Amino acid sequence: MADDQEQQAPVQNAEEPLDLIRLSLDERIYVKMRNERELRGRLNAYDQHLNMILGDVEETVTTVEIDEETFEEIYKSTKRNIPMLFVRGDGVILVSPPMRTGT
Amino acid sequence: MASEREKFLIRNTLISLLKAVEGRETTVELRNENTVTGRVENVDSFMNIVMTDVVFKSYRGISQNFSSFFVQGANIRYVHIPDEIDMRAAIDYEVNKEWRMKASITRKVRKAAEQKIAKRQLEAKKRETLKERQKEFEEKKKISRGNLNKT
Repeated sequence: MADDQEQQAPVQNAEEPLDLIRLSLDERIYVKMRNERELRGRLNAYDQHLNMILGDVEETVTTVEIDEETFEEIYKSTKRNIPMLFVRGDGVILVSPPMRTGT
Repeated sequence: MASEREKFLIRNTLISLLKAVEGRETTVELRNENTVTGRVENVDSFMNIVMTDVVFKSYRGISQNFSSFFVQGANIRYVHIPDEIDMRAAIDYEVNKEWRMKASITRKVRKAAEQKIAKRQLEAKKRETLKERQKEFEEKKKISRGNLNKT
């Protein structure tokens, strides 16, 4: 009975937010950055400042243009691919597994 | 020589990998949407980058050439990493730099100390043998005197 209780104990204790990023090492992630930028790439390395090394990354820059006549908001996005990128941590807003479109 | 704080920052953050880019050509993108392409001369622990033979491309697309360029670390958004860099090896190299330097200094100091000790031991031994020989000589003298007295 004591053994059962021990087996139910969690594997990782004292998990802090940076540990959650550690779980995503070498996985594809989605990074939301300041200035309406998003990155999707493979996380190779990170540090406590959230400086990151991303491989095979696709950057998406989103801009909003307002039509003068109709006052419609037109969302435009520009994408580009970079093989290996060092990202400075102070531009990072959030880090997450890639978002799946649909359900 | 880097201050203690700088050395700590280099060891404990990804700056160690940026230092591996030193000497190579790459592109640095700034927060204000301008790009700087050129050879990285030096990276310090605050991510300040000194570059040479630089093409500065403004967000409007206008290019300017500079022979030397300094980028403040806080203004950097991205640094493109050249493909040839082995990241793991680069980080290990930077992180162990100080250890290696200290290890070589320790080895030299230890060698010098050992030589000193060996020298001292050798001289002590010489003195010992000298004393013993003197003793033996005195002994022989006593014995021969004794023999003389007997006869």
